[in-house]
Amino acid sequence: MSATSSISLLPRLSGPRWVAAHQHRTTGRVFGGFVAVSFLAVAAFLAVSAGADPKADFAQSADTGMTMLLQRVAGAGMLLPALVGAFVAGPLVARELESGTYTWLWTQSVSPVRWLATKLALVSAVTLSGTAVLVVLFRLARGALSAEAQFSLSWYDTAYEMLGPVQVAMCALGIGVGALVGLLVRKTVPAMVVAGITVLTVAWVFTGLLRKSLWPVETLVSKTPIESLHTPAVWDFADGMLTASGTRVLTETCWGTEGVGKTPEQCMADLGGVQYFADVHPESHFWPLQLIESGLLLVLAGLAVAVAFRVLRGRHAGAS
Amino acid sequence: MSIAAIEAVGLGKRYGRLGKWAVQDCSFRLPQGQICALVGPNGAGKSTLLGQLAGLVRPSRGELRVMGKTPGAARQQLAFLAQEKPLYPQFTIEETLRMGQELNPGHWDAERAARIVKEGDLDPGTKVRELSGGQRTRVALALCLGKQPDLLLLDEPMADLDPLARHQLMGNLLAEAGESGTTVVISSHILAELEGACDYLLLMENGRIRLGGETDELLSAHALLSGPVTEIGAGTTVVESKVTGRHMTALVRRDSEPLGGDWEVVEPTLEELLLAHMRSPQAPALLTPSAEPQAVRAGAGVAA
Repeated sequence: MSATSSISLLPRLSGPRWVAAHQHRTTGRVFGGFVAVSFLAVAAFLAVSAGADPKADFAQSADTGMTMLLQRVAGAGMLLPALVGAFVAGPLVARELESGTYTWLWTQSVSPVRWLATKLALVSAVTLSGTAVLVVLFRLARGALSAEAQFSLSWYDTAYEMLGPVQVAMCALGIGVGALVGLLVRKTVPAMVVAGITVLTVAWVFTGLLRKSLWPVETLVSKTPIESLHTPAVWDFADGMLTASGTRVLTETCWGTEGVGKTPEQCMADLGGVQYFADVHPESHFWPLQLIESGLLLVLAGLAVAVAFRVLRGRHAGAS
Repeated sequence: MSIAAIEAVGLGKRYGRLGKWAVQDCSFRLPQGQICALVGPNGAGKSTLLGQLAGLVRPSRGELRVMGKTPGAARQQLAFLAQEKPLYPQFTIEETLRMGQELNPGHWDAERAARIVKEGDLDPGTKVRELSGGQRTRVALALCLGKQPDLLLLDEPMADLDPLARHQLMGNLLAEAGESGTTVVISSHILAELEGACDYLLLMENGRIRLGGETDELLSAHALLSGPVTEIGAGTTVVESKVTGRHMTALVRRDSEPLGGDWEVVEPTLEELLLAHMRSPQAPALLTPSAEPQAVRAGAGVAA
């Protein structure tokens, strides 16, 4: 029987932890299964790529296959924090409020504050450790790819989140936002939608707006066109030429000049450019960027959790 | 005087800043060990009051003590069953009772909970979603009683049950409560559901308590008069009077004996008493001495 098997799987859980774990055991199993399958897949790939001659057909198709798979995983990885947020907001919190089970749950000897704390602690332990494992697996698998393959999984773009603690912190944010939205919206499906959209919005704000400003940019200057820009090692977001007085002429101002028989370089030189420049994050900025972004996300997650507990205490008399 | 099961003074609850007061100026006292009916029309504020007593709804104003404590602090001593009898549909009965045990460490009576379920001929392995309304109520009651509460709050517990199931469960409930001396508050808008089962009565209307006290005392504090149309003495509180031709019936308080006049005097039935009050919103509230709140001790803060 499923009940007995899960009890024996979780022998030391008791009190509200038992209740929360038992309630969400199916979701927990699905997530655990996903992590386990990922582990096996990466282990098999590493074994194959270590043992095989890299020039053999088999090894090359494994490389291509894994690259495509990791690209999809990186894409799906962006959705994981939103899914976590939706799960916490809906099934974990709002469903209790919507179905009325909270009226029973919150009149037990265990207080509502402990109920919420237990649920959040449990979901954090499972989600954050599972995500950390997925990040490590992703790094191992990407590290075993050929250099060309790594190009399509660039550290600053497609693969950025999945390569470091940002993915884990983003999931923590999902938990915080989910708890708050669940308590405020109080209806399962709307809460899931609102939490998911909120997490995706925050992720987009970081990806699209904030990320590149989180660590001082390096400006490369050279008399010749900077070739190193177009390698996966460098995140380039502004380039062009500098005039003698130091004014910037951006490459994009000269886009489309090929039509009149000029290269962009000639066009920029005509505008007074004397040497080339580029604003970049070299790969050495990966860890500072990751750590600062993770820190900010964790602060936001903490704030959301703190507000969630305030909402719980404010609305319900005997909460603490 | 021993600690009251419930003591409320000037209790109020308003939903939203501009909303209607669901509970307003609500004051009463319920001594321990009573089986109390909380009756009143739909929308009288019964569910909100029970939510406040259970610690789920924060009072907007007033003071509330449950077993001498704030409802939050009394959580180990009280059990609450909401109208919808919410349970987890995916849990079996056995798992549901295990949950009661896990959330009430140290004072869970597993044997009692199992016995109540067994009396309904239920297989502990059945999933909650497969239960009928009556069976579900039984499991929910087992969950409440397994906690061994001093105060059991039930919101319209029998509303969706057939008469047989209602009778059985009510019998079970009264036997269990009587055995352990549990104070029980049962809300209902169906008077017949509670007649004979309850020795204490609270009539709630428009968020206020209009009648409160021992059922016997409330009945004997009123008289149903019938006779020819006459002026009723100025000292007597008339709850309701009806004139049919030259004949008149009136439900009055026995606050100034003798009643005088040429009346035939009988004690009203519970239904007559309650209906007369519900039809006459202007009749003053009446609390028997045991239902009058004692002054809440100075320094005890607002229920939180």
